[in-house]
Amino acid sequence: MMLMKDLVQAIEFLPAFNQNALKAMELIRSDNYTNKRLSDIIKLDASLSANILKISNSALYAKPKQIYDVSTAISLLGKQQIYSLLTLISTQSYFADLLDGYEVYKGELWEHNLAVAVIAENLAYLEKNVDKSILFTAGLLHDIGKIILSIWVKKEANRIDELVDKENFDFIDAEKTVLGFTHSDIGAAILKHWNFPEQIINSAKYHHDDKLFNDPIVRLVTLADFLSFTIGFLAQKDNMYMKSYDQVLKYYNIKTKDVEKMIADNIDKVLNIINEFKLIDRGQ
Amino acid sequence: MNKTTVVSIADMKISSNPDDVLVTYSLGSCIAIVLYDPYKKIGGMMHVMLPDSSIDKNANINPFKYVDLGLPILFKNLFKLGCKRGSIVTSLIGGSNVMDKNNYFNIGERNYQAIRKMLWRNNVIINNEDIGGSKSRTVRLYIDSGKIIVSNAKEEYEL
Repeated sequence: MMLMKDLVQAIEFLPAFNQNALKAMELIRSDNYTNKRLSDIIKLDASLSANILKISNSALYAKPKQIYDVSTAISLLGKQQIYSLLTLISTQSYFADLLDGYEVYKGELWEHNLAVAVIAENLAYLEKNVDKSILFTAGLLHDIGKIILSIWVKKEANRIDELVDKENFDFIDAEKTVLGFTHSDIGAAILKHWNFPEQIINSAKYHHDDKLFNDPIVRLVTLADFLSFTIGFLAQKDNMYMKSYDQVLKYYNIKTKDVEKMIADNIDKVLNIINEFKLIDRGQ
Repeated sequence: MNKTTVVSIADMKISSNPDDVLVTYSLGSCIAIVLYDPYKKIGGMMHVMLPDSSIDKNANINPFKYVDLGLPILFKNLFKLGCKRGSIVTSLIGGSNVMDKNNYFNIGERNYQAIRKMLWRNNVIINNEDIGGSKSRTVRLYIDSGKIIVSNAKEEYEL
């Protein structure tokens, strides 16, 4: 069993989320936003600036001309894309070690998160009123709790597997029963600690809620989570079925053909972004 | 020394290098179609996702997403290297329902049926298969021997 003090300590010991990135992200969502203010913040951080330029010039955006400075990147890509990029750049390192409570190969969880981010953003058309600008980020961070819970899940893998395989528990309920916390609880606590907006915290907290939390962002992240697993990301762990998926599929009235169409529509973009943000090193 | 060549999702690789191991990871509802010619020691592997390309206007950008477009290309590539239809060993692995406890969508089964139908129409016999269930599978094909190893987090076995 994990204790509250273990949890608090684990969150405090995490390397801090890039503060310049956070500041830039807050600005993007505030009324004070201007391109100039944004580029002023980003330029203060040499590595952030370099990364943004590198990605702006990558195959992901396929711009006809080389982009040499951050201000041009901001005007060409737009603040919404920059918001997603800031999360992407700042989050990758948290998934750089093998998280073997949840993955067999290093980087599988990261690939899954990238897939959920891309798919959630692309499915925005399913909702009438949704803040599209944070869907990618909400998807990318929905499983952030796993970076802490991984070692505990690994330690108790036998008991968790037993509950899932023999007692028909959802994985999330098995986490709660054996460890006292779920990766959703912990994810929400981390994101709160990092001062993320409430809707992003909610996607981490409620994407496995079997009553289907009433927020379009949570619904889209839950659906994208299901689709990413269905494609096969993170499928090495084959006990990830959750009731929340049934709820969201029912909510959107999704049929076999819809699932196939959604997979077909999204997979190229998912594979592109995975290729651009590689972590997997499967060796031999 | 073995050299690993990764077949990613919606991808196909062919090899005649005896040191090569073709590997594809984390098959859920996707299926690995593995072809091997034991006389020529040439192998091919495709990681296919969906049964039918008619849902996608731009399907030709990557034919290996779809059974109906990718499967013929896989065979043609082996024929080009001199493999004879009669000597090719055909194996199918994957097609499970990892996320779909209630068997609601059954994409794995639909993939499997699409492949079977196409092979049957072309008089190709399926020699080995490890299909369905709810487990995920990683597949390795050893080009020197044609040996196929299937594994996941819990087990590993030869097909």
